[in-house]
Amino acid sequence: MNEEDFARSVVRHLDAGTDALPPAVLHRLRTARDAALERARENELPGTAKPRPRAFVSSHRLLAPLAVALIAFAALLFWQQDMQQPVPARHADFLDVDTEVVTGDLPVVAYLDPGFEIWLYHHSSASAED
Amino acid sequence: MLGAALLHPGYALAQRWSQLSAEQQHILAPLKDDWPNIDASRRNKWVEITKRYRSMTTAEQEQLQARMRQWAALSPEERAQVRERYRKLKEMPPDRREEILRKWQEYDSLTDAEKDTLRQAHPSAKPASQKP
Repeated sequence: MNEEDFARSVVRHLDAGTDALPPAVLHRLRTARDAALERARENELPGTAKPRPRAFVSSHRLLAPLAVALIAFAALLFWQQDMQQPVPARHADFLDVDTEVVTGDLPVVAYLDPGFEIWLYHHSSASAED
Repeated sequence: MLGAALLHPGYALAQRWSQLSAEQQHILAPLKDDWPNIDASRRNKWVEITKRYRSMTTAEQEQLQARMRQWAALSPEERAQVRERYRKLKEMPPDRREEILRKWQEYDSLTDAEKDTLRQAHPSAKPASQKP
């Protein structure tokens, strides 16, 4: 195994379940990787991976939750913008009806008054046609 | 960036009662106790009403306040019933809708005794909502 393959193997070991590794093991892996990178920079091996920050392992661990947070925030912004956009009529009707009821022509109590229903049934032109 | 989004007036993030202005709280006072139970989209619609409040006449403002008190006093089941009947009213032809408004004014002008007589005279009458 040449140094390049060794470096790649070290990276794979670092990426796979680093959280499950004891700190001492993580330290030895990190040290080995740093040493490999240093040798690669000194020897200018072709195809060597570009130098990465020393805190590669710790910053790599932050990428996933940070990406999740960014995606969640983007989803929140899109959802909020969607609430401001014209919505299908049925959905808009659902959202508007409460405020339309209180600003409409009939008082709220009219919709629940059984006497008014009887009045409508017996005194409307529709019932007269029956 | 997140802070800017939260402060943007266009965003319907669930505004707590304490985040409303004093004027908005005054206008929406009948809904204060129920505010925590109102979802964000409906809260935004109620806040939209406060923007129109200043342009209303005094009579319109008083009517709005009275109707908000009526709405706030309803149970969830009653609100669902009102929403359903309102939707049906909205779907009716304009002339039918206007007739219903006229009939409400007629009915509302009855005395309580006349309304009781009406109900007693038609104890088994099928309400309009149940007409086929």
